[in-house]
Amino acid sequence: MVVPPLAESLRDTKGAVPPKRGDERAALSLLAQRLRPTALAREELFGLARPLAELIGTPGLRRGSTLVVEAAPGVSGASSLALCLLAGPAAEGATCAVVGLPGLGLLAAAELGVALERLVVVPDPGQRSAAAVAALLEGFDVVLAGFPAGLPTATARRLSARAKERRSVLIVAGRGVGAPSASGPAQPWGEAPEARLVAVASTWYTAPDSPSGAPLLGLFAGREVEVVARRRRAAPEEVRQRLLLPALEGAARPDDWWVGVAPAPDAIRAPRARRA
Amino acid sequence: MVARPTPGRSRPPSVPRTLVVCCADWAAYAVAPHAFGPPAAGRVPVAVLEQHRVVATSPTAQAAGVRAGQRRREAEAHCPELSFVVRDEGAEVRAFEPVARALESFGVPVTVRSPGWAALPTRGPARRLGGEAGLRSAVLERIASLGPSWQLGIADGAFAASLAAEAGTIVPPGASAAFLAPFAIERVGDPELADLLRRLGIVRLGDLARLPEGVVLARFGVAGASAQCRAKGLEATAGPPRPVAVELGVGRVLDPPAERVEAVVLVARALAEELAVVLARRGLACTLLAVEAETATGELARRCWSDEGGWTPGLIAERLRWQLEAWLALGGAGGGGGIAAVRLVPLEAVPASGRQLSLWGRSVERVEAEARAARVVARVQGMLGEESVLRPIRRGGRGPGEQILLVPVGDPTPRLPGAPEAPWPGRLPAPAPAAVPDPPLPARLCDQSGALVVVDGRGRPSAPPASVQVAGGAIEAVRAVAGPFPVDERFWDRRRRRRRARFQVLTETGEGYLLLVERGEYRLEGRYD
Repeated sequence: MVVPPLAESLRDTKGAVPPKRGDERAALSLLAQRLRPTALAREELFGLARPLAELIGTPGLRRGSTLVVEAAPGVSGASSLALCLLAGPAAEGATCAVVGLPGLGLLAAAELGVALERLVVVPDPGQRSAAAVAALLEGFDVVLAGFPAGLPTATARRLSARAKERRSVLIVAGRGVGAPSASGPAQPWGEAPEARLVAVASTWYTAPDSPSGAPLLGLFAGREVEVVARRRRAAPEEVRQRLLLPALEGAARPDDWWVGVAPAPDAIRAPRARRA
Repeated sequence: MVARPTPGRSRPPSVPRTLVVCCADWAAYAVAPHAFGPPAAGRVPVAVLEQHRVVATSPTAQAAGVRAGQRRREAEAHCPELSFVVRDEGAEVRAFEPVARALESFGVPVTVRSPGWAALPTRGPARRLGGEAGLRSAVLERIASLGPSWQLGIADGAFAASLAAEAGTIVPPGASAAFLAPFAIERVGDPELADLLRRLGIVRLGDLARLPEGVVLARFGVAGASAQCRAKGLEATAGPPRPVAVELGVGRVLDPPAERVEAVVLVARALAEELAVVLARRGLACTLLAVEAETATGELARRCWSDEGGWTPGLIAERLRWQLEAWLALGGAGGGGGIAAVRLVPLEAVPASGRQLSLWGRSVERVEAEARAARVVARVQGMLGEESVLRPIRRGGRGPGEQILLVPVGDPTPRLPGAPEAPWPGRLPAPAPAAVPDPPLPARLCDQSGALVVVDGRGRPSAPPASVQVAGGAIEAVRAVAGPFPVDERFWDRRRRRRRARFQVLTETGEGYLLLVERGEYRLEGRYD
């Protein structure tokens, strides 16, 4: 059997630029791309804190999926929930974009673990938010987007399709995310998203009072948020979880998360014990 | 640019004779040429500021004792009538372009390191113009009218020539090491290394040059070795810079030709990112870069920029933008008809090991992903405007909004006063509110009787808060409250002083609010969402 030179063997395929003779490294990488059977399942997932992954029903945030995050009327916690979904991928080096949410607290994002150096913000895309999101889905791994009310169903469907095609994650910010209050209509979406996460109840834990009556260092210590997830593919269709968001020590680290219902042993790992 | 060995010369043959033209106060001349010239009535002393420090001065300011590196107030103390101008590097490049063109008229490639500093090899023109002294006076004559006071020097290599220019001398061939020896070690151009060397007792360039090469490389690494080469009057880099294959250049044709800079800038940024990927793939860092632009009439403009630290995409895009601005400004006068093509060609590169400034172990895939993101950002900027896509930077401050600065993507990171990790008295601990309305919404915090809660000069509230109302909405009963956390900002500055106080409020409905009170007015600064 005669083995043709590597670069020659790649020449006849259409679409790809054939590498120059002698550039074996480029030829090899092209060949490797072509020979790779399929993307590995874990390459298709961004890491996610365990309680969130259980809510969504996949071990991580699946590339190409669309999620909707919102709060029930008058309930807080949707912004933190949306930011936590960004934190996992951002920690793995994914690029993130936030569109149309001028009121999202970026300091809180940093505290929740979103790497600010890989984040870009388009606070006010005006009437062209759908076009901006469509463009950003091409270059960014995760896009968190808020849309003006009355987004056409067809546009929503098109954006979901774009996310799927470009292997990016679209997180749609619904009621309450980055807003001064959780009121207004629920976020309709063209087709059923992979998961719709709704914060249905939240309780703040306050810091202990000092002898003089007022907390010494900040009032808010931690919060329990109850989240209902409606999933399209995972069974059961609806799950309910309680999350500590943020955790009691202050900023939430994924390790500190505590799941109220059936806590998984490694989900409540104490960081101190791990260090020892 | 790589010199051929000259027969009959025993000293290192690889160091080309170089003429350096420089003007220390170019930053001031570019923005305020009227402040230069013979002393006359009404000539206002000018100082250029960058990050609140003086970087350049006009002669009258210099005579009054204003020096580069001084703070604004210090400079004002020396010269009360001093007027300040903020640095504009784009203007500097534009103003320097005629000088670079005048130098190019000698028929040799001109290398610009920064506006106000250019180098050219002397080999060809010196022969034509009757030796190096003749070349020096010819150059001076050509550019005398284009700037304030020029400093010219000739020596072996750009580093020695640069110092020779300050002294205004011509260092004979092979004598550069002796010429450099008495200069202070700080002149080596690497402040961190210079500091270390000084503490080790190596205070002059000559001391560094005398050390055994192997020992320097072993102890101080590539940076030390290249500093030693400079001190010896050899080429600036440790290994000889290697010429790069021209195919690595990246270019773009603009159809229709661009008349305005804005149209070219987006292309420039994309090109810069593209070049970065090409170089990263080969593990190279570019040290000499040619920027080429072709006008619609077929005229080719070309300028070489050098940078020992290696070019990053941001730097390339910035330089390219300034250069294009300069050409368009000149071409517009001559009816050039716009720019039809742009090209970036790396002329010399060194292996990127040891000068990789980005994160450790960043893979090529990561570089490509970031380049892809940068292209998308450029597209969105084209769609919505350059100021529309921002990147957040942590900065020092107290309020949740104050601690984040948003700068347009592509703009350089400003050097911010006040580190985030510095103690900020009055800053609230984590968690930060996840919803920060911009601008803050009006709010009311009232006591039992419905009167507004006021905070006195000692930071005490007039009564315990009982109800809160945000943006004219429903009145919510308060379950718990923390604060007030009083902040007296800039109490030393009467005009910019601000006295404020913050309250954290938890309502019976379970909402957490961060309220800011200033002059008896409440604003909702954040919602703990």
